[in-house]
Amino acid sequence: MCNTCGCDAKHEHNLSQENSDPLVTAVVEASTHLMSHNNHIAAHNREAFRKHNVLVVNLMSSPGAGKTSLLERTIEHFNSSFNMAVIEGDLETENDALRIRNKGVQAEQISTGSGCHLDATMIEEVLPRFSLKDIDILFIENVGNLICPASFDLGQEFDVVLLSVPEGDDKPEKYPVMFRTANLMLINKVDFLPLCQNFSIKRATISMQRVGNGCDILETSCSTKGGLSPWFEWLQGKVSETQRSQNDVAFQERIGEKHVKR
Amino acid sequence: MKCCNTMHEMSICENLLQQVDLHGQKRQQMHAAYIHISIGPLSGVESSLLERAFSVCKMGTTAHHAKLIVSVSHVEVYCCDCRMTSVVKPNKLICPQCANWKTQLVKGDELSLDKIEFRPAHEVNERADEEINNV
Repeated sequence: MCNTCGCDAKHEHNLSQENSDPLVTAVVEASTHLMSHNNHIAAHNREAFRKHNVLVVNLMSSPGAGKTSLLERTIEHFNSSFNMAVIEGDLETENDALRIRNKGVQAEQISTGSGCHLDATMIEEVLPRFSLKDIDILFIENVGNLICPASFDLGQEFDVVLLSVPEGDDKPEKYPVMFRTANLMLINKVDFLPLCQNFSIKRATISMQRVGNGCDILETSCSTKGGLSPWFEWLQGKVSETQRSQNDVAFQERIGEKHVKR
Repeated sequence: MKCCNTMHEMSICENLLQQVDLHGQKRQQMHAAYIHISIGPLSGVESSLLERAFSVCKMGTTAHHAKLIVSVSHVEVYCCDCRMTSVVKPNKLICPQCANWKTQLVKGDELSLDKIEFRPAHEVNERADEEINNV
């Protein structure tokens, strides 16, 4: 056993070789993730979501790409079939939360002040305001930002990114950290395609492949409501998977009750 | 944590310092002198920003005299078709051998605290005093 760090590996710590500082008297081989605290809380959140069969979708995009509009259209479509709820992340204002509440759905606002992303602790803090057992889909509308939100696991099951046509088709290559791990990409505002002739759906697809992501890519317009059916089908499929994955009979019975109540 | 999360490197730094502090609590009369971390280009963290954030966040903690040593890795992908592992750019994860884009990331998204080197507290403080005097 290694005498310096106590690990099982048969290696020796040559302090003078590792560091020229002769005054170093103890070395700890930590090998831990720098996000371990956030990831730990995210795991707790995920556990709570799974326990109650809640499908949690984290929506990410740059500001103004259409996340709130997409949620409005989605709520209109599923209002009679699913119970939905939304966590809104914004630097300031409750504008987006108000838009969701106007559709009759619970929306809790997290104002991050000058913070550029949501983290797992913020989600954990807002969860007691929801009755998870009565929710089928919880959307987390992340802060509009293509950089920071990608680094923070919140406990979600799926990451969905929106790329709006006026932003340009090369965003995946410009922001590989966010686009690389997305489970679905929506190219939104496709009604702008005639005005933005530099945008090519094919190039956006290739850009996504360049970051090694072969996820489904859907073309949508929330203003004309065009192309939304595949998105609804995707969501419907994920809700079914989420609820089917829970084999516990008691849970199944409770889901039955939840649906009968509507 | 909320007081300084204006850039995500700040909140990651707070996390790092919490971990260093936990290890430090087990070693009385010792202070962290060198903190070694690894950052991959696809971790979403910029090493220069993290170093800058560290110099601010470490103030008033047990790591306030510590030096951050960052190892930045490169990005490697494994091609499922030609079974080659290649070094690639962070925004071009395509196999350079056969142009297949269905690759698996082997390396490049790490974000880890690797090692902490401790020195007796009085030695760390003396060294810091010397550095101040030399300036």
